[in-house]
Parts: sequence; structure tokens; C-alpha cells
Amino acid sequence: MRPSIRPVHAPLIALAAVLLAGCGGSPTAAPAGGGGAGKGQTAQLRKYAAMPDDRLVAAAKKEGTVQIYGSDSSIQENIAAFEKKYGIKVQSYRADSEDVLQRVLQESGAGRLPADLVDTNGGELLTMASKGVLADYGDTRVTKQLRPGSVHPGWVATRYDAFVVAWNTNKVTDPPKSWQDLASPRFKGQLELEQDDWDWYLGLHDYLTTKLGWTTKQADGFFTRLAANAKVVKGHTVQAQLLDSGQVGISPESYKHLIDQDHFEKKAPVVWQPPIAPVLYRPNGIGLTKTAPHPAAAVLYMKWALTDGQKLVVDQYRDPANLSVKARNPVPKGTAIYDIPIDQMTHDGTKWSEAWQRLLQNAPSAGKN
Amino acid sequence: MTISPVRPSPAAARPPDGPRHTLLRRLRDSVLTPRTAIVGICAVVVGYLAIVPLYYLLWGTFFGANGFTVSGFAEAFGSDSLAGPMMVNSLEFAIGSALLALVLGAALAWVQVRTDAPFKGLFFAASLVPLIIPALLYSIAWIFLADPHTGVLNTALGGPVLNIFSMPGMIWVQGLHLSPIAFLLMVSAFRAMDPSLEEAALMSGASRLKVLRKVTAPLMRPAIIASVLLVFVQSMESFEVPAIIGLQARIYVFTSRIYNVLQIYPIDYREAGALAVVLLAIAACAVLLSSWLSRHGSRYQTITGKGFRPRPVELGRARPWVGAAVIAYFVVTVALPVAVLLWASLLPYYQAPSGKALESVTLKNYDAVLHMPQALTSFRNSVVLGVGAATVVMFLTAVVAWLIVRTRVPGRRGLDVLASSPLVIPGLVMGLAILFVYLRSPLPVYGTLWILLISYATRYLPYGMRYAVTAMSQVNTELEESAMVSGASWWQTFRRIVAPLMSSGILAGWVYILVVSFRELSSTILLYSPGKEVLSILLWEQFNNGNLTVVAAIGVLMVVTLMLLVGIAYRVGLRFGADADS
Repeated sequence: MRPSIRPVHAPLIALAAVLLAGCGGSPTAAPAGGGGAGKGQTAQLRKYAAMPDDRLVAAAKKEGTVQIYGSDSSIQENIAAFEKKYGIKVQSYRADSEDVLQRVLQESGAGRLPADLVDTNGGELLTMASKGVLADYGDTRVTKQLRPGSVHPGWVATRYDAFVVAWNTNKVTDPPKSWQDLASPRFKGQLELEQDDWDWYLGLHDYLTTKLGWTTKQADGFFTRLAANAKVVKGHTVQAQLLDSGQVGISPESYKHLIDQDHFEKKAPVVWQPPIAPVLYRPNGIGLTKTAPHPAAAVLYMKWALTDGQKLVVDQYRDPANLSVKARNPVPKGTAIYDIPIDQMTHDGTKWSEAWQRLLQNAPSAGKN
Repeated sequence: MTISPVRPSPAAARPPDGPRHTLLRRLRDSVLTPRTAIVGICAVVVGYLAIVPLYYLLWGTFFGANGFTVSGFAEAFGSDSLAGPMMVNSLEFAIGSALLALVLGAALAWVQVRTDAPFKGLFFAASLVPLIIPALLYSIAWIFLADPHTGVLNTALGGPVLNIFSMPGMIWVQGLHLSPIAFLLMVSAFRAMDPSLEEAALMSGASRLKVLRKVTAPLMRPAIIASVLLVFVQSMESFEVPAIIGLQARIYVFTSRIYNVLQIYPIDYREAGALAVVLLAIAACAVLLSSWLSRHGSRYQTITGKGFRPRPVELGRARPWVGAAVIAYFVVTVALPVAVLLWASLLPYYQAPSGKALESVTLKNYDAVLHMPQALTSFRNSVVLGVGAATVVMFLTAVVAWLIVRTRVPGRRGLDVLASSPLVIPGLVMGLAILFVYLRSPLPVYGTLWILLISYATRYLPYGMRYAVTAMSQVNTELEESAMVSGASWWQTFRRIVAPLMSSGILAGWVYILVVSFRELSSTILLYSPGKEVLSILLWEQFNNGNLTVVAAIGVLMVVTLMLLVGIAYRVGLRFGADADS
């Protein structure tokens, strides 16, 4: 990752300063996280994490507010629930995960990061952690309840996006039984693949070659046949919508929670069971910033998100990280779940995304079959 | 930079007191006048707004850890990048869309301003609605209409007659969606044009076609060039139609590429920058070409001291046919997409119209919108920002247009090109640049609505420039001279004479900016702060949540609000001299 902030930008800053100096204004405008507070604040965060609940809540209430940056679009519901329970005001900035990452890096580079917590995709959290923006959270009273592998340096997984093969029951009466089946000519023109789902491609490719023992050549051949059956669409929302309305028959990498929401809440004719294994998991998580201006409230939110807040995760038909909370429509026992290797995502992202683009370029055009 | 032999514009080139002066002399004379101050400040502000993102883009593209590099270009255009066919597709898409938008926009503008065609009231909606509906929804609406297998229109036609997933399909959607840009520009140009020139040609025995070719088209040249430029560059740069329709048709264009690069993690800003720099070069050529084509400035000056009242062309027997064409255009650009939007907004999930679907019709989505915690604040913020950005941009660009069209100040072409550069800078890059500067600026801008205003003003500067320059090229200098001779100061002249004469074009630009600023997302999403949400953020949130039908409901509410706002603006505009024909 190329750092976006460099001292060489000095001319730009100088230009801004020269042009704006005449207009007046105070040197510090917005409430800032403060640049040098990192170390002391980390100790504070540790102190609050170790506190008994009642004292933590009292300290958090004294701070009165907490600010969170997130890419989870249902974050509003979580905030409402947290505010209702503790009477602590939550301010939120919501954007795509990439925007959240850029914003955090830019602001922390300028020493003006007002966020206490960041709630976004694992890949972006991994990058923020590697830049030293996030503080560890290791309250074992909480983390021992979580799915193994959920605690990472700088962040903790709160939920998992599950990729499933889903289909429209009006369009597909004889659903696919296996990956090979899905790639067979009987589904020609019925599939849709999402433009940016190279992480799914990485995960499944990895599973087929390392777990099922396919050769790379076999896996590549399979994906080529799969792509030959598919149209390409942009975004999981559009993908789900096209599947709901029967414009396409099968989505091999749907978000499970979107399919379940549409099936159970909107009565759309879409299902993902019986599942084709594996169901691929990609973590979303939450991290405390090292400069959190409201450390007690931040730790309280973190703890809440990993315990009581998990009920909301489940209400959205997502798969929770906390194993003591049951998913609404869980992956059936015996169906393999495979974690997309997110370290590979951050290291080899370019390679995999370009391979995915090349694969999709060869997919047939919609309307011609 | 060439300084083309413009006819010396009296107002600038010759101070009221006398003969021609040398450049130095003129400069010395004009320094420290209110005119210099106002024009100078506006030019500096415009330059500053445009330089921030441009600098950031160029720096990020050409400078790496080891100094100067062109590696981004190698990645973007190397053998593995599929750049060749992509460029061809892009050009085909952009030129096709520009021509379609121009032909539609110009024909409709002519019908609107110059004929006695019926149903003129429909133009108001036709000129706005496509702008209001986000391109994403507009594209999806057309998929629902013209999917070869399930499209409503194909079902109605009894077979796969229309295929939206094709290059003509993409051009159709993009051209229709952008035709209001051309329409708004051409309407103000037609209004400002004295039809007696055409009448004279007709009287002298020229055929209608000849008049169109020899008189009308040349007189409209600045507006035609500006429309083609804006639609062309915007089509090169926009990604909604290429992403939603193009991807399914396996047609890749330039921006799908930029978009892809920006989606790949980690983002390769150098490669994205290289692609944007090439677009920038294309746009710069287009701006210079357009000013070269318009070099004989005085030829287009049709607003003179002589009053004129255009007599509408009587269409006679053609009138019902033109009326039918107007209705057809209205149905295709407005009624059908809005109907799809409205239909979708009443459903829990999108279904093609059927008896079964009709049973699930509900107002739940509207209820959801009204109960969103930030709906009201966002609504207010969007209105404030839209009106603010439109006003700031049109004021600045009207003054700068005077500088560019009326004077021979060296570097004015450069300023024009500079002010057009935000057109091609990806929104994300612009957001990053603005974020970078104002995080470090002593001004209390960060974390407020001001930063969004700055961003919007930058983003829409190029549109303001084209509207203002086009309007300015039509105003004859003799009116300014008369005012000056009668003792008016420059500012009085500008305010009382020039601005009202340009008002039709300025209002058109104002309306355009107001409307499109409501849906700006790519830089907004980086720059807004908690509590300072705008409508596009809500739209994005609902879209990401998978609630396409709620998005449709917000879209319907946006259409209604903006129609009201623009209706008010036209009313106010009437008072200040903008013409109306309907």
C-alpha cells in the first residue's frame, strides 16, 4: 500500500496555507484525537478493558459520547440499541470500507483522528492495524466466547459474511448439487458473478487446491467453465435484486444474509439450502483506535458489540462471532465452513483481482444466450 | 499557448478613454481598479479550487518513493491491461452518447424555444428528471424495461426485440440520461439568438435546411461545442452505465478500468492516476479545441442593443407530428423510468408488473424513509449545499467567463483548461485531495458542511464554466460599451447589463449544478462528518443494505423536491430577466 500522506505534499499545504491564511480562522477547529496521545491512551484502554462492568459503565457514562467509523450499513440499528441501553450518544461516520480506511489513514496522519472505534471488513482492519492505528483488545472474559481465530492484533471479528450458492426457486427447479455441476453446460447463461468478488475466488480456489487436492490446472479449468455460464453484475445488492426478480437463476457467491433477508422478510423466491460446501467466511470486525478520545465508552461499545450486540447481528441473518449466540438460519452441521485467507487478500490482492478480471472478461455477454 | 486573433474586445482591450494601449500599459492602468480586484479574486479562487485536486492527482501519478516515475502508465496501458479495445469502446461510447444527447437536446431545445409545438409544459420535467434520477437507478430501470428476456418492453413487444446489453443500449441510456445537459445549454443559446438572422436568410430564398446549416448551426456553435464537450467527457468518466449495463454486455470501457483499479486492494493510485491523466489530456484538448473553434468570438454575439422578440415558427401540418415526438421523448426519458422507480418504490422487492406483484404493493418503503433518524437533517443539508454550490459556482464562473471571453489577458485559456480539469478527476481522488488539505488547514472547515461546499464547488466548476462561457459568447460587447460610455462602473455594468443578459445561461447552469449535487457521492462519502449527512449518503446506505426499493422511494422523493426547487428558481429567474417560453 502506498502511503497517501507524505511530506513531499508540502507545496500543496503551503499553497493552502498561503491562500487561506488571509481569511483568518482558529488553528484548531474540529475536536481532534490528538497525535501524541497514543501511548498513554493504550494503557487507558487496557485499564478500562480489565474493569468490572459497573465501573466501566460509570466511566463511559461520564464521557457521555463515543464516535465510531464503520462500513457496515446496518450500523444505525446497532447504535440505536447501544444508545438505548446506556444513554451514551454515539456519533457515526459510515462509508465503504475503502473510504473508511482512507479516512482513518489520512486523519491519523494529520493527528486528527476523532474516532474511538472502527467497524469494517477484516482486510481493511488488518491494514489499519499494520499502520499502528489500532490498539489490541484482549479481555478474555469476552474473547473466550468467540469463534476460534476471531481475535487479531488490533481488532476482533464481530461477524462473518458467508458466501453461499443461492438460486431462484421459480427459475431453477433442479438446483445444482456440486461445484462441478454448477460449471456444467446445463446452467449455461443462468449464473451471475459479481464484478469485485475476487476474494471469494481466492478463497474457493484456495479451498479446492489445498483442501480437496485439485491441481491448479483443474481449479483454473473449473473457474473458466463457471465463468462461461455466467453474466457479470456489479454489487451484491444488484446481484440479490436480479436473483429475486428472476432475471438470473443462480448466484454462486451470494451474501447469505441478503438471501435470508429477502427470503424470510420479503418472501422472495430465493434459497441457498441444501448448501454446496464449503460456505466461505470472511470476517468483519471492530478495533479500538490508539488515540480514542473516549476510551471508556469505546471499550464499553467494543464489549457490547461482542456480547449483547451479537443479537442484532443475528437479527440481520448474519453469522455472529460469539458462539453462545445462535445464528437464525445457520450453516447446517456437517457442511464445511472455510475462512477466506485475509492475509493473502492484503498481500496478493492485486494478483487475485487481476486474475478475476481476466476470468470475467471471458464470460459471455448477457442477452446473447 | 496561442493567443488567437480575437477581435479586440473594447471593454477590456481599450479603456473607455481612448486608443489602443500596449499590454503593459493596459495592465498598469487596470491594476487596482474594482474590476481587476473582483475579476482577479474570482480567477484566483477558481484557480485555487481546481489546482488542489489537480496537484494531488499529478503528484500521486508521477512521483513515487524514488522520485519521478511513469510506472502507472506502464501498468495502465501495458500489454496485459486490455487498454486498446477499452479505449476504442470508450470513444465509441462517449462519442455516441455525446451525439445522441446533442441531437436530442438541440432538437428539443429548438422545438421548445422557437416553435408553436404543443405540450411544451412537458419539457420542464423532461429537462430535469433524467438529471435527478441517479444514473445507477436510471440504468437499472432500463434493465427492467429492456432486458432481452424479462424486460417489460420486450414482453409487450412479444419477443426479444430490444437488447439493452449492447453498445447501442449503453449509448441509448447514457445519451438519454445526459441529454438534459445539452438541452439546458441549447435552450439558453436559442433564447439569446436573434431569429431575424434566420428570417433574413429565408427571405433571401434559402431553404430551411440551408438556413439550419448556414445560419442557425454556426450561430449555435459555442453551445453545440460546449454540450458535446461536457457529455463526451462525462461519458468518458462516468461509470454507472458501463458498470451496470456494460459489464453484463462484456463491454469494458476506460472508467470501468479506473473503477476496477480503485476497487482493487490496495489501491494503486499511480495506475488510477495515469488513466485519469490521459482523460485529462483528452479533456484539455477538447477545451482548447472548443475555444479555437469559437475564436471568432464576435460572430456568435447575437444579443445586441436591438430588441427582438422571437416569432415562433408555425409548424403547420407538422405540428401534430412534433407534438407526438415531444410526447414520445417525455415518455421515454421521464414517464417510463419514473414509472419503474415508482413501481419499485411500492414493492418489498422488485418484481415485473403482474397481478401477483400488485397484491404486495405497500407504502412501507416511504414509511422507512420518513423514520430514518437522519432523513430530515440530510434533506436540509442537501438543499443548503445544492443551492450554495450552484450559486457560488455560477457567480465565480460568470465573472471568469468575462475574463476569458472579453479580455486578452495572457493565461486565460490556461485558466479555462484548469477550471475544466475537475471534470475528469475521479471523485475519490478529489475527496482525498480536499481531505488532505483541510485536515492541515488553519481554517475551521474540516468536520463542517463547508468542506462539502468546497468539494461541490470544485466538482461542478467545469459545468459552470461551460454554461457561463457559452452565455457570455452570445452577449455583444456594444451593450457593455454603451453602459460604460454612459458612466457606469465596471461592476455596475457587469451586474446590471452583462449578468442579466447572461441570465438564461446562468440559470441553466445553476439548475444543473443544484440537481446533480444532490446525488454526488464519491467525494462526499470521504468528506462528510457525523451529523452532517446528505441525501446521497442515505441512498448509499440503503443501497448497500440491499434495500433497492427504499432507494427507489428516496429517488421518487428527490424528483418531487427538486422539481419544486427548480420551479421556484425559474419563477425567480423570470423576474431577473431570464426568458421563458412555456
